[in-house]
Formats: sequence, structure tokens, C-alpha cells
Amino acid sequence: MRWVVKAGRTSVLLLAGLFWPATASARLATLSGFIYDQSTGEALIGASAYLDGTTTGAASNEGGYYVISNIPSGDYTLVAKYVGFETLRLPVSLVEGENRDAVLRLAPVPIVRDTLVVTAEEVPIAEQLFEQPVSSIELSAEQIANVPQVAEPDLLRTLQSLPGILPVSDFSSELYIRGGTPDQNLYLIDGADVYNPEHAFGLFSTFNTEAIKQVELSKGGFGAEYGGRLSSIIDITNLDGNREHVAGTAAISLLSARATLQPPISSRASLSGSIRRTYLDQTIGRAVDDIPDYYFIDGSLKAHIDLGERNKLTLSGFRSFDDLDFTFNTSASDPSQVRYDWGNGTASARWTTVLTPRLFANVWVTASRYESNLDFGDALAFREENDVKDLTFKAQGTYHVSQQFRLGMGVEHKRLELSYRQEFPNGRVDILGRPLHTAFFLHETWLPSTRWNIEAGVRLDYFDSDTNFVRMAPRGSVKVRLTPTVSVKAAGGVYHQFLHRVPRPFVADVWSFANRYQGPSTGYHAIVGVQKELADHFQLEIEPYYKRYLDIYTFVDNNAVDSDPGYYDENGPVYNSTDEIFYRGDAYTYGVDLLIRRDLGAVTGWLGYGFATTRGAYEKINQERAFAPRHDRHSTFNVTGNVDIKNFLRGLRGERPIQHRSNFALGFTFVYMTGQPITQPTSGYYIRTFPDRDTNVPFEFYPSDINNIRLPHYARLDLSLTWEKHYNGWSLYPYLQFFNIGNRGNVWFLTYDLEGSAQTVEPEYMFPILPTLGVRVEF
Amino acid sequence: MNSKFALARRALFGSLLLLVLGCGKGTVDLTGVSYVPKIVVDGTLMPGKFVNDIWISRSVPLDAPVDPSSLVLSGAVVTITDDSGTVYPLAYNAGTQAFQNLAITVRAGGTYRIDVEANIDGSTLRAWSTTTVPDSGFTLDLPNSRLDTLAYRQRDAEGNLLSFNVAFDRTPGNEFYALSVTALNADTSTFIYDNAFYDFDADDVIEFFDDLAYGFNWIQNAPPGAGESNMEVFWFHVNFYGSYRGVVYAGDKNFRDFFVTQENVQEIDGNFHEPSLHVEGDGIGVFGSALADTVHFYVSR
Repeated sequence: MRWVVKAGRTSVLLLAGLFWPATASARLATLSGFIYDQSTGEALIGASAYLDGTTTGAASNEGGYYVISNIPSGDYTLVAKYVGFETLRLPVSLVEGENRDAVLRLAPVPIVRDTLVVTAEEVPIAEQLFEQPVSSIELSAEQIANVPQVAEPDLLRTLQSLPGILPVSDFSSELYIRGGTPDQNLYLIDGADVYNPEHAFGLFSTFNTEAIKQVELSKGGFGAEYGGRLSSIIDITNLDGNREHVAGTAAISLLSARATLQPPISSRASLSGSIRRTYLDQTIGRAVDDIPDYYFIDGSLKAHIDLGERNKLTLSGFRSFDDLDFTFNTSASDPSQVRYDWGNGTASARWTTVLTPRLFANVWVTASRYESNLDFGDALAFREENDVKDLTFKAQGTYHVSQQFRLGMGVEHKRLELSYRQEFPNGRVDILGRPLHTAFFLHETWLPSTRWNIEAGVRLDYFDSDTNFVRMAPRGSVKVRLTPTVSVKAAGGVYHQFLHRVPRPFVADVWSFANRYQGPSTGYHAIVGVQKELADHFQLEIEPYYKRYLDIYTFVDNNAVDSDPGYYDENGPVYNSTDEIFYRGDAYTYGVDLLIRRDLGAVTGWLGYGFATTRGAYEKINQERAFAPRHDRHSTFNVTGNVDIKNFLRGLRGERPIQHRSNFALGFTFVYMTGQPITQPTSGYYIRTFPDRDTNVPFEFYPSDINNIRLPHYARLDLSLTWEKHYNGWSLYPYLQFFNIGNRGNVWFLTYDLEGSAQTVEPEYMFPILPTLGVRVEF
Repeated sequence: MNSKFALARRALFGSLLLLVLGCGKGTVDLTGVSYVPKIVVDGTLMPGKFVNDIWISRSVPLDAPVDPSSLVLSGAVVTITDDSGTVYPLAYNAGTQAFQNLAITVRAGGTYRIDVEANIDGSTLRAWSTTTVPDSGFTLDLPNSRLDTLAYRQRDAEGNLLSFNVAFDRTPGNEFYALSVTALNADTSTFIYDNAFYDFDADDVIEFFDDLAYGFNWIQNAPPGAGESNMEVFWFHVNFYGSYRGVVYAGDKNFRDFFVTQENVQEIDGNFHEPSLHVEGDGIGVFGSALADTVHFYVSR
């Protein structure tokens, strides 16, 4: 009984302590407000606002909102900075206890052609690095656009060029992040979950680069505000729209056409829309019979409305649709066809509110739907439908208790519906689940001094399907400035995932959920890092890490023989559960990521190296011994760069850069990866498929130990050349790109055959050299 | 300025190095792949039929030439034990290149175990497997089947595609049934060139003959009780005009797992995985059992 009283008294003291600084700081002033791009009205994320001559300041949050609290009364100069913008200096006089609302509008650095480049006062790189969460990388749409690609700029393919992020082949834009699998990545677009972010064949992701404002990638150690995935977060914010003038882009290439438009609505509202369509089906598809008719179309629309000075409403929608039709023999009089279509749709409404100068909140209602339909027609009398529906309510608030202490909290409630149906002769699959997922989190940020940043949080998840699961996930991080240019970071935590995915190469995957057959998965992250600002705008990051995964699930290749029906109807067996279609296992990854990056100057880009080892052990596979999965590569090396050619040459001559009316930009990406493991046969044998087939007996190949050999290393060099021509009010960017300009034959897999008495082994290669050209217009 | 030009020269050299590294072709080193010899068991017991068709052979390493006649393990010691414990030795028949014992009576519902011992590359290997023959009860229901003559992809008056199908009464307790389809008049003159699936010429027909002349369908997890089921012949497996033979099997678990998994060992991304086989020890293959019956149908021009 005495310990209960003591615990209760301690709790009260702790709670009082949270608010004590607020009480004590009642006589101090607070500066807060939004930071905007003056030319467009877009909120600026991560802009710095501080009081000149002091160490008191803050960075704007994901809504562009900043809070500087605990300011003694007096006269100050409020300074605001952001990369690419002119520094704003605003004199402010504050009295005791004042809450001053200070909206800051930063002007972009003026571009006057054929004159010297005006460089904005820079935000120190070390400062930017210190503000970044552990294992986090931010990319702008421009940085994504500068990376040469297969056909056009693509977010996921750009992310694959960063250390610790791997593709499994050229035909996939899925991300394997620090040993994790693609289903362990959470994709958010304006707050809504996206369940299948890849279009077919891995050439494009579903994210239109032209519509993107910012991408924040967290490779691990992310905070308690994110949940439901084990490995990473890819949080995408689309453009809000331009409130000052009509702006947009249009582009066309050999494979697709895309456009964005941002018409101003009023000074208090903006609109942004984008659309994209491939037209292989209308070009190559009409000329060549043997390839599928395939196209996709995707688009997004976003409205951003100010409801007064302290309230903003954002309405956002996104839709993608893939259509793949294959006619087996187009010259036949009665050809058979396969039809496959799939797509994502999301809608989100977000209310951003400043309840008090110290209390900032976001409330979302989001809806997401992914569906796919496969019909083999009369070829096999097989049809498949997969449908994932997600309706989510979430609310997050941040309270600035003091300049040194912030408290965050949030709630999320997700209603899911996952449906998977197959119809085939003499049977069907009919799996339907409507799980509910509710989560709460608490998160604190403590800045005991300007050199320290300590964050801690806890997330509580409740998942209710045919059984229920309760999971708690503590997380934390520490950042320390050792010197003005060097900081060290550490992060760790527990992560839970309640959804599982059946992977299917080339096309859409199928989602399942934790239930009485497959429980939730758990991950543990431990990360340390060193960041250093180097000379000449270079930055260095080194991050060793360790990740452990428990209760992860892999699809059973032979599930056709292991699955039992749930019941029988007039047509035969009905499979209505996920029993026996997954094998449970555990895995771990350890490694080091190294990144050297430069975002300013005539030459920008990054150099990355990743070393990692991943191993997994699953029931009933490999006698439950650990093995290297398909995506395990010991080392990867990436160099990605963009060269402003005229200013680069000026730099060699010792001349300062100027804004040219026309210019050339050279982009390059080089990738080197050590070989990935693959299971290959070690022997062949004759065997009859059926007892009645004793002539032309087939020769089959028998596999050996799992992933027993390593394919050769992978190497590829991509180049792009863009000519920039700037006119009054608009710009033209024709470009030529070469994917795999060296035409290296990177082995994808091996095929085995028997020709006469000789067994043959032939490699199948990934993409050869692929040229593409196109033109982009910006206005 | 000199240092900048030196840096630029180094960058240019580095770029050329990257270009060179980005050329060429990857070559796969398979020398680390270790071959493990296996006894290949290939036999299916059927009630009412002699046990005269048990194939015992060996696997071969990937780099070895394949001579089918040399793969037969004619010197293997092979026995079948029935559920009464009676052990039947099998003898090798050089004419059929198979092992046999004509004294074995295969009984529906009976359990049989095969044991094989053979010397491969100087090592004595052993393999064994057990099969339980499905119970009797499986019979074809010809009146409810469509097994006469159809034109290629013939449609009814409403335009619906017709297809051959086989109706049959199930064996209670048996859940796997398969249909093996063989074109009996298959050659380049009878190939259906106006083919819904393949745009082939005569050379293609020769090259892909095995895939074109043989087809199959199956049902698994059929309702466990007595009753009728039906299997369709997909037009996908009908590529020649003329006569066809269909053999319908009611197979046991060994038969089922072998059939469903053995050919699907290479995934779409090229990776291999093990099939689900039920030969223990140093063996692979199938020792299964099935009830079987035969049907015929005809595809007219």
C-alpha cells in the first residue's frame, strides 16, 4: 500500500514538473507563426527561425509552423533562413508574457539571367544535419529529377541509389532497406497510407515527381508517431499549390507524358493537380504483337485553404490505375486473353490548427484503397480479386512546454478491410477480414542545451482481427554536438507490424493481416551515427546499425499442397484463411552506411557505400538453418551527381558562377553491388510427369542448398544530358538519357536446359542499354 | 586553379573508370556448387495392374553429359513391403528398363513401402517411401461427360465456348484427381496453326513439341465424401487436330505433392526452391499410387 501512495505521489510530481516550466515561464514571451515561400505561398518545412545574437531558435515543423518560447522581454531581430531563399530579418519588440504571432515570408534568391549567382546566407550544414532525425534523409523534387533514370525521374529508383537501400533487380522499384523487405516500408502521401506504390515491371513508382514537394525517408530508428511497419518510413508531401501566379510543368518522353498545374485560387487558397500517362500501348504496343498492351495513368489533386490565421485545411486525393492486357496470339481468329488491372486511390483531409501559440495540432481523416483484378479468361478459367480498404482517423499534437521541452501525443484509429478472392475450376479462395488498429503515442523532445537533443517516446498498439494483439513500443534517440561541425547520434526502439504481404514479381502483391495463424511481427533497431560538415558544402554521415526481426513471414512456395479448405460448397473447396500459406521466421541485419553529400555548387550529388549482412531462418526451410535471403548484398557503392556544366567550367577558371540563359546539365549515376544469392540446381534427372507418359520423358533440375551461389556483381552507369533554355516566364529542358550506357550484362538468373545430351546453363540478363529522350517545360 | 584542374582530371579519370566498370557481362561461377547424387524413384502403384513399371535411376551433375540409358540403376536392390509385412523383391527387366514383381497384388486401400539400395559413384545410397493406395469408388461418369467430337474452340448458339470435360464419381476420402491429356496424332501437319495461344510455325512446333502435345489439369482438396466432380480440358492444352487420350487419376498424397510441385521449382525471378517430395533418405522422385481410367475425344478441323 505504501508503494502505491509513493508511486502516486511521484506521478503527480512528474505531471506537475511537466507544467512547472510553463507556469514559471508565464512572464516570458513567445514568438510563433508560419513560414512561407513568398513567391508561391507554400509553407516551408524545416526553415530556421532564431533571435539574432542568441542561441534561441526553432525549425519550422511539417506544417511550416515554428515556436520560439521563453523569451525575456526586449528588442530583438528575428532571423529566418532557408536554403535557396533570402534571409529575412525582422525587428521585434516583446513585452512580458506576450504571445506574438509572426508570419514570415521568405523570398527566393532572385534569378537574373547572365548575372552573378546571388547566394543566400546559408544555413550551416552542421545545423541542418543536427536537426535531421537519425537515419533520415530529405529529398526535394529537384534532386529526384536530376538523377538519370530508365525513362523519367522516379522517387523509388532515386532512393535505390542511397546507401542501405537496395533493389532486387532492374525490373523492380521495390525498396529493401537495411535488410528489410518491401512490405516493411510505410508509404504515406499527404498522410494517407499507400499499399502498392509500384507500377508494373518496376519502371515507375506511383508517385509523380512533378507533384512532390518533399520526401522524408527514415531508414530506421523513427519516432513513436509512426507505426505499423518494421523497417522504414517514406513520407511524401505533395505540392500545396501556388497562390501568387499560375505555375506548372509539362513533359513528354518516349514512354510517358505528364503535367502539373498550380492555378492560384485566392490569397487564402491554392490548388495543385498532376496527371501522367504512359503510352506504350499506343506506340510500341501497336507495332509489336508479342508484348502486352500495358499502360498506367495516375494523377493527384490537392487544395490548401486558410481558415483564418490559425487554421488550415488541406484536401488531397491521388489515384493510379494500371491496365495490362495480353492477347496470346493476335493473328488468331479467336485469340485468348489475359486481363490484369490494379490501382491505388487515396483521399485525405487534414486540419492544421494552432490551438494556442504553444500547441500545434494536426487532425487527419484519410481513406486508401488498393485493388487488383486478374482474369485468365478461357485460358485457365481463373480469376483473382484483391482489395485493401483503409479508413483512418488520426490526430497529433505538439505542445511547446518550454524552449527546451516539447511534448507530443497522438492517436490513430484505422479500420481495414482486406479481401482476397480466387475462382478456379472446382474451388475458390475467399478470405475477408475487417481488422481494427488503434494506436496511442507519447513523445517528448528535450533540449537540455544547444548541444543536446534527447527524444523518447512510447507507442501502444491494439490490433483486433479474429483475435487481438496489444503491443508496446518504446523508442528513443540522442543527438550530441561534439564540435561546431561534428555531431553524434544514436537511436533505437521496438517496432511492430500487423500486416503481411505476399510478394509477386512484376505485378501487384497481395496483403494479409495478423490473425490467429500469423501474429504480428516485431523489429528491434539500434543505430549510432557520426555526422560532419566538411569543406566546400560537403557533408559526411557514417551510421553503423543492427536490426533484428522476429515473427516475420515468408510465403510458402508449395502452399498449393499445404493449404486445407475451410469448408466446401456446391463447387468444391473454399479456402477462407491464411493458414499454411506462410512460414514463420526470424532475421537480423547488421551493417554500416556511409554517405558523402553535396547539395550546393556546380557539382551536386552524393557518394554512398553500404556494407551489410542479412540472415534469416524460417520453419520448414533449409532445415530451419539461417541463410542469406535473395536481397542480401555484402557491399554496395553508389555515385550520383549532377553537373552544371557552364558554371563548372567557370569554376575551373576561377570565375564565379552566373545564372545562364542557357546551359547544359550532366547527370550520372553509377551503381556497383556485390552479387546476390540465388538457389540453383546441382543436378538433373529424368522422371515421368504421369505414369502414362513414358515417351519424351522430361528432364528436370533439382535445387541444392538454398541460396547456395552468388550471382556476379552488378554494375551500371547511367548518363543524362539536359539542355536548359530560359525564356521570360518559362523554361525548356530537352534531355537525352542512357540507362546502362555501358550495356553491361547484369545477370538476373540462370536458365537450364537439355540439348541433346548436353546440359546447358544460360544467363538471363537485366536491362541492356536503354536510351530515352524527352522534353520538359516549366512555367 | 591548378589544383582545380588536377581535381577535374582526376574526376575525368574516375568517370572513365566507372564507364569501364559499367561494361562487360557478368559470368556465373558454378564451381562452388556441390553435386550430391540421388536415387531417383519413379513408380506409381495401381490396383488391378502388375507392378512392372518401377523406374530406378540416378541424378547427374550439371556439367556431365546426359545418356538416359546409363542413368538406370539396373544393379539396385529394390523391395516392396505390403501392409502385412510381406517383402517382395523386384527384379530388373532389361527390356523395359524397369523393376518388377508380377506377384504383387496392389489392393485399394493398402499401404506399401519401397526400399532401394544402390551404389552410385562408389557410395552406397538408400532411399525409401511409403504410399497408401486410395480406396475404391472412383469411376468415370461418361453420360455426364463431354467426350465426343468438337471443333477447335467450338461455341454454342449463344457464343459460349464449349470444352471437353470428364465427370467422375469420387473415391471417399481421396481429395486429389488429375487428368493427363495426350495428343495421339501430333505432328506438324496436324498442328492447329490458327491457335488461340501460340503464333507458331512448323519449326516452332518441333522445338516445343513436348509442351504442345501433353497437357494436364487437376483438382485437389475435393470434398471428402462420395459425390461427383468434373474436370475440364483447357483449350490451352489442345494444339493438334485428331484423337486425344485422357487418363484420369485418383491419386494419393505422394502422387499429389509430386505432381503439383515438381515442375514448379523455378520461380518467376529465376530462383529455385525444393519441390515437395516424399522419398526419404538419399532419394527424390515419386512412389505414389492411384486409381486410373482412360477416356478419348476428338478435335475436328
